[in-house]
Amino acid sequence: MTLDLAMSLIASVGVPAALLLLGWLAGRWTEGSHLRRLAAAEAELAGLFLSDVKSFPPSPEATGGATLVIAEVVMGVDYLKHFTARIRKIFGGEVRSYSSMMARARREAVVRLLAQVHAQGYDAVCNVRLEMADIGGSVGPRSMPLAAILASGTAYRRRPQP
Amino acid sequence: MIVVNTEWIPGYRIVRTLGLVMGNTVRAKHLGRDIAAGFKNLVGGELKGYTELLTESRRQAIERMMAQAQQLGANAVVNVRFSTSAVTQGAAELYAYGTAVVAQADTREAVPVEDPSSAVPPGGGEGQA
Repeated sequence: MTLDLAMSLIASVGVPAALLLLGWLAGRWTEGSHLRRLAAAEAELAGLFLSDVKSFPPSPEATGGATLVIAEVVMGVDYLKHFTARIRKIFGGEVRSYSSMMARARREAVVRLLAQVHAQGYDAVCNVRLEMADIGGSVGPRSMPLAAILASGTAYRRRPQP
Repeated sequence: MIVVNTEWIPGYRIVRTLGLVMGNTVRAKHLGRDIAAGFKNLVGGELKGYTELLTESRRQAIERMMAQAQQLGANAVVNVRFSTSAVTQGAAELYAYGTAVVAQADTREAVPVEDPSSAVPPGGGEGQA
């Protein structure tokens, strides 16, 4: 009898508590290391020019061709953030755990886009579009919060080739 | 084949516009990926299986679009746009479309460029989340 009670207590309280703890520890660690990686990559790619206009700034007479670059990234949140978001929905207001997920996913997508621009020998990218991709996991009753970002742009050369 | 999402290609002249070309694909993740993503969602971070799914679908959609352009005799596709939709839970559609054109390398000194403000059609329509 007491064993049954103990088992059901563990199942109903212990497991979610363990998942919250796991989410808190692992989530903090993955987020911290991701933000550090992002900062390093952004600093490395800072020389590239990024814009969302269609006209190849600074001069529309850019030469040397152009190519489409695309990057995608899908990110989720940890269990603790999922939990705090649910609490937040009771009181309303900014759901910070999800805003930070979206922001990180977009930064990662832009970094991947710039990495491709650099790898293909271009120094600028224009007409950058960041859209939220609709992938199956983000709908339905048992939905997981996902940030699926599809970034695209046109890479070109800002400076004429020597 | 040159593919860009702008309306012209720097250093090239568009000599003929052949019309809209498109490619789509609906792909599903296999169960293993769904389960792995479920576990990954406990600790947060990138869901690599789903990123791969997007990469594969995007490649396939663009390949189909380029095949169509090739059939029309184009050597470039301009103004490419993407659109996605979740057809059902666990499957994603990726749709790529653009305008097939024949572009010629411009060897003249000054490239005649249309006024960009007049070249942009009113209201892009797509691209917003």
